[in-house]
Amino acid sequence: MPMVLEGITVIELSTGQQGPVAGALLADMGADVIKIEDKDHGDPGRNVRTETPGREPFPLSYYFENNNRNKRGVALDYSGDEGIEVLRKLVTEADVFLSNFPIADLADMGLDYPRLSAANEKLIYAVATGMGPTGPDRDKPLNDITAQLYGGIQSHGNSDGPVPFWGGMANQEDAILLAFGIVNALIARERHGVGQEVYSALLGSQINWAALNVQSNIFNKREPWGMKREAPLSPFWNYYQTKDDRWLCLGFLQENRDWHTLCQVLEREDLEFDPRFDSNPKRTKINNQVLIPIMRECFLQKTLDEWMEILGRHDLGWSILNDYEMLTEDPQVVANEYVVDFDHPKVGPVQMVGIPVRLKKTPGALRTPAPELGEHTDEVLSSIGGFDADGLRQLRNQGVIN
Amino acid sequence: MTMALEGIRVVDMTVWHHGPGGGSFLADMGAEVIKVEERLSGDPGRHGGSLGGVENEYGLSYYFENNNRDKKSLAINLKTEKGHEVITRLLKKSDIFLSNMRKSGLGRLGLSYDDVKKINPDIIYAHGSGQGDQGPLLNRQSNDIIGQFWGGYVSYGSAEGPMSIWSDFADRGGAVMLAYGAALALLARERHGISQEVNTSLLGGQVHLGAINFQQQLFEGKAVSPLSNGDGHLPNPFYNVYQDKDGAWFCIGAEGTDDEWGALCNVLGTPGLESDPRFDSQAKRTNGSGPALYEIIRNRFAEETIDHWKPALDSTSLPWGPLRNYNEVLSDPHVLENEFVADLEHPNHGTLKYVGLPVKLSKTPGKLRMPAPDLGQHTEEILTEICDYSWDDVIEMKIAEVVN
Repeated sequence: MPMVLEGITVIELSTGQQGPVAGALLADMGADVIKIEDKDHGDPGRNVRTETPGREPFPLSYYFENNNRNKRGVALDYSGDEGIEVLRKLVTEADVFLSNFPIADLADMGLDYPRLSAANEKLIYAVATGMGPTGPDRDKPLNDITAQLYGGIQSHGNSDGPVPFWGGMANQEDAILLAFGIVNALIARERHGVGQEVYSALLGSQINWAALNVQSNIFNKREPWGMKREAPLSPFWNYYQTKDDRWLCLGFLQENRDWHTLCQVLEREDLEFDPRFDSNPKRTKINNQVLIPIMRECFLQKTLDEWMEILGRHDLGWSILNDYEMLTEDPQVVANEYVVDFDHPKVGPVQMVGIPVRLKKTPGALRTPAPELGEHTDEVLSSIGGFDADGLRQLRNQGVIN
Repeated sequence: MTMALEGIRVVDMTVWHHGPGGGSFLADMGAEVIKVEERLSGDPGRHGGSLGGVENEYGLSYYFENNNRDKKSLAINLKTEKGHEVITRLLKKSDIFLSNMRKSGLGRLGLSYDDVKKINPDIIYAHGSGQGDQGPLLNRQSNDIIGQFWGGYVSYGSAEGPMSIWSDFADRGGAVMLAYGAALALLARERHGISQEVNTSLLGGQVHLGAINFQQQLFEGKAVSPLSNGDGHLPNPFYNVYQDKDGAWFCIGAEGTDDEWGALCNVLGTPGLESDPRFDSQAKRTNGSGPALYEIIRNRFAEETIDHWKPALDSTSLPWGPLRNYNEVLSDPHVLENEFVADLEHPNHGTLKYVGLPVKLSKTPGKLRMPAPDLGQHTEEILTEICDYSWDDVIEMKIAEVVN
């Protein structure tokens, strides 16, 4: 059975996370994604790993491996005309050009849409931007942490300040939205016969991912109160600390049905018919600030393990607060192949992040590790670029490739 | 020009945000998305409970409007034989079946993958669950806050505790994954002639969002530990949040290179800082001496207001930005010009702003076309025009309370 994107060639000129992850998402689904890197320095993402004094670092960068798995690598000096000419040749044969370079830089390099599409009418030209393809601040640099603050999501953090999320939240959000856009453009090419430009933006993705906050602000004209612990939330959509300083949350949507069960779980049957809490509006709105402290006190009486055992016996909405150590060993994560075993040619058996979109007949697959810098330069340039041995030698002599 | 998904019909049997959001992404791209709702009560997301918030001048639920714009509504009693016949006729003429209902519930309605495949072998069956389609927690209840807690991202909180993200962060992630999965399956059908089931989940969405945290844990045996960015600061002074004299927050998102260090020293204007031997390499600035440097920078930024710092920071190439709330985001001309928030003509309320499309296609662009439907607003049109029922049939169904 073929993979969804088998036969689709993507030329990717990108660094870091936002662009590379969009490329990796396509590569996971079978596209031939060719990562173009500066021949001397490579993607700076190659160097992201933890250096602990006195300890041998893990030989692979978690960041680069995750963001570039399943790709082929070409190392090129694209600062001069010869290198750009090679790039243009590759793009002429490709289905998708993908970059997260600034739009102005791409134009300076001669890699703008009008010029690339002139030689390849059906090309899909996809750019992951910070601020969007237009507007007065188009060229203002934006990255993960600045996007989180600038896009609004951090404005309702804990009362001790914003808490930017670690792991590239804005980058990951934008990468999948761009991949969605590219897949839509591929569908449009199949169905309507057109190639086109596709733009995503960190700022736009932040706004779209927080769509409910934004739409609420438009209609209700107030800022979200957020999920600060002192916020006026429902006690049943809230989080609680346990005796051993761990956290769990409740997430009930059928509060009426579950109130009786909850009182039993908390061993506070006396609350069930307490006149302060005998209706859902009283429990969730009118007297929620009375009920929440009572429930906080209850949850402090037992350890997390004890609560897991008790809550696990009932059909209620709840969760513990997982960290990544717990998650990578979580049977649910493993059963769904969200984490998979992979035999890495360099270091042997390792575990990698799996593919969270599970297509039953044309599934994605982890096929190859991230490429070494320039690992596939010759093979790509000869097959897709059409360079013969002489041509490659000439590029080498000119210092365009290593 | 046509839209990317024009001519694609989606049967959207979804509730709340996760599934409906998935359907709305496809609708925005031009698919004809038919939201199938329970005849009397509709999607509970219409009321939204404490989430709904319809107490505004429009009487519109931001929650339902956002999740269901650009769709049509068919309100029907699926538990009747006639209701099942209607859905069968509709599925025969559709390309995608989309749902986030529990699979057990879909099975009871005769709408499992096997059932639907029998009705229409070419259909794509896209299902979004809480915890995936395998494993011990298959039948555990799940929703946004549970998805966030289970999925790991909010394990980074502050000293105060975890910070769960208001705005349905996990549901939105599920919605995007579901739409992406459905679009991939559609492309597989276009390119390879294969129709199939595709499964996504809230947990899978969180795995994507936290992918490098997962990968760091898997390679290095640890990710950033829970609640480690307490006190509102992160370990690296160049990638951190700061406050001005009046307490206004802003961030710097740099790497600490020599150039960036020089630029920052100019901004701060602290004598002798640039030549301080404690900070004379990027490694020292971001690792070894990071905490000491963080304190120096924090104290200095707290001496002046943002009006002082803004022009100084803007004159450098340091990535930085202020903390903005949604009023500020929504009044930003740049946001409006990029249509990250866009206008929609509402039949009852005139021009209203809706959340725009996050990704722009130049020739087959997505578009906001219509507001969320009233319950059953398009029932008659769907029954007569798509399902080929006569008006007599429709009246019979109304009398039998199959439809309204």
